[in-house]
Amino acid sequence: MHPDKLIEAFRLMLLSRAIDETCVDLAHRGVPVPNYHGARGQEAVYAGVGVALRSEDYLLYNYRAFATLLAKGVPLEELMGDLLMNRLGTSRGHGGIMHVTKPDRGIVGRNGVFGSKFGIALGLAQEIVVNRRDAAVACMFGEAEGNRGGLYEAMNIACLRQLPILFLAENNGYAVAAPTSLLYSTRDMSGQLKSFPMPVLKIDGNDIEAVTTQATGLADRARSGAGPALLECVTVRLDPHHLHDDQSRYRDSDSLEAAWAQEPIARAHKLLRQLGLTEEWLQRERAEAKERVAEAVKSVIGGPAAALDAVFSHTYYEGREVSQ
Amino acid sequence: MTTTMRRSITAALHEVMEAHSDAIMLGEALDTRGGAAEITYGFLERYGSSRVIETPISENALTGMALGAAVAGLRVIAEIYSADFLVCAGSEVVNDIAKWRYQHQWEKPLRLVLRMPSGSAGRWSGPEHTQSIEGILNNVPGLRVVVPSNAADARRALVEVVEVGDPVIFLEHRSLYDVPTNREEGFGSAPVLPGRVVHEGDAVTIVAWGAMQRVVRGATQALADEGIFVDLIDPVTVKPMNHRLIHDSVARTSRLLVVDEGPRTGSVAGELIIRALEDAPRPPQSFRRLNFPDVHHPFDPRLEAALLPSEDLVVASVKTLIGEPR
Repeated sequence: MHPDKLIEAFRLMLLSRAIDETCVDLAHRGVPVPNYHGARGQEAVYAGVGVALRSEDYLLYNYRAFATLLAKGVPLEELMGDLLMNRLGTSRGHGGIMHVTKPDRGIVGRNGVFGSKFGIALGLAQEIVVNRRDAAVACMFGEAEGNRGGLYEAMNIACLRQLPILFLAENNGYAVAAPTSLLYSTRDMSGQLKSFPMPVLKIDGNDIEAVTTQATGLADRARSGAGPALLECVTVRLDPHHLHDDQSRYRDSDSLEAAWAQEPIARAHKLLRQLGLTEEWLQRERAEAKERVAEAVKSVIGGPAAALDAVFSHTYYEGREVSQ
Repeated sequence: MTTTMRRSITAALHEVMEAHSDAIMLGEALDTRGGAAEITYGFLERYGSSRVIETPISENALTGMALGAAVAGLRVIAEIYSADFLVCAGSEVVNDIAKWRYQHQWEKPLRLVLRMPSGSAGRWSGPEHTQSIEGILNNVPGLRVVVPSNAADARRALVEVVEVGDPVIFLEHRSLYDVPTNREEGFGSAPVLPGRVVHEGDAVTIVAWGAMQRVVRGATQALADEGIFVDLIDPVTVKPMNHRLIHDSVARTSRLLVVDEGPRTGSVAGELIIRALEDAPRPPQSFRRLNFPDVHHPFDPRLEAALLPSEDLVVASVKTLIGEPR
């Protein structure tokens, strides 16, 4: 792999980490960060997928996938506006981080209830087929979402029709509090999907090089018309499910300590050192990511709240007069 | 010249598919048996497999696929095999399709039509293949519900709903598929979706859509024979309802009867009446609704017929309303 790609992915990981640190800090200072869910520990998955995608590809994202959203072209300021859920976000304070939307960059939005994303992926892929575009759909989902039946319906149709979809299973060990082993009969996410006639791969999701290589290869494959594929990225969620979750009730500190030893940014750091980048350069990148996020927050914090009028004007296409 | 709703829907689908190369159709058994109502035979061969998609029996995936294709900018007409099965994809419809524009502050049209057979044909179909789901859908902001009552309207309405820019649930009443209809019956050149006054009179305002419109038309003949003339409204679009059309009529008649095949509690009929009482400049002085009672459709069509609003009940209700002081 070209080192530039790794550097790009590393920068995205650093931005993602800085977003997490900033959101936690804001929340502790009493600034509402509605529906924020941390990405720490999973940055390699999101960054690796991000650099594998092109702007003309569709992305059905996971709400922790800050790095993927940035890679696809959501401006950092607007992403922070979505996290702070004010009018400077992509959905102007009405969808927040759960409904980031940037249609001209292939981000059409996100379903609010787990499990209906998979059908949406089929429809996006069908547009690519109808218009004969050189593009793919990246459909990210975690353990919780992967337990919904819609996944199996959609994978079946994706295989039947050879649709250009890359299913990205992010196995971070938990669906909120329930461990993967309690939710999947094969104890992982890809084991029970192997019977579908498509490539089903399982990789170390904390290895940025592996994620980038495999996601790039499978996205290229989908764009070429060879059909769907599933990539399970095994990773670990380091933080609680969200800010109000007490993970000490269902996780022991030993396993968390072990997970921290495998965390992806330190591993990427080491990899880039081996590739010849200096410690000084890497430290400068870390500082720069923090500065960029701090600047972005400064520009959107205190932004105007969502407008009540938009609730009415965006229920129907023609606006307020037809809202009953 | 006569036609049927079944044939006119086929014609409307051809019209849309020919006019728009970005229009796609999807549904279960869409090609192999022409879909649920044998309406779509030959479309796959004619328009190709990237635009005509036969899916497995997978309502979640099918409905989600329709949404995905619509947000990607295509014109989408998806068939659900039965209105009763739309609830299999309840979250897609209620949580995703209906809310997409609001939650994403979506600016572009969402050209998405879910069409499906609905209502009772009185043919031993039981309670899961007969339901009128307008009442369920009426409580979901963001959706449009359209229920044509004859072949000519169905053709025009289907072409119009594709362009409306909002998700539309298009309910094709099972009992109307093969009723011969004069091609000229219908709206002339005006758009059909806002509804219209079908039959003018000053005795009572009657609102009915789908199969109930046909029942009421039968009753209006019997009433006319007795010198009673009603103002009959076919709203065509059940949601959002064109309340003004009803309120203007009620201003003339001051009596309102709504005939609705759905169960009474939470029915569209109840909403129309309360809205007329609340909002009409001249609210009705007397009002009634005819609904299916709050029970399930029996398999036995003789029992079903005893529960459905009928011509006789409409005539009796009109006479009761007339007997009440204005």
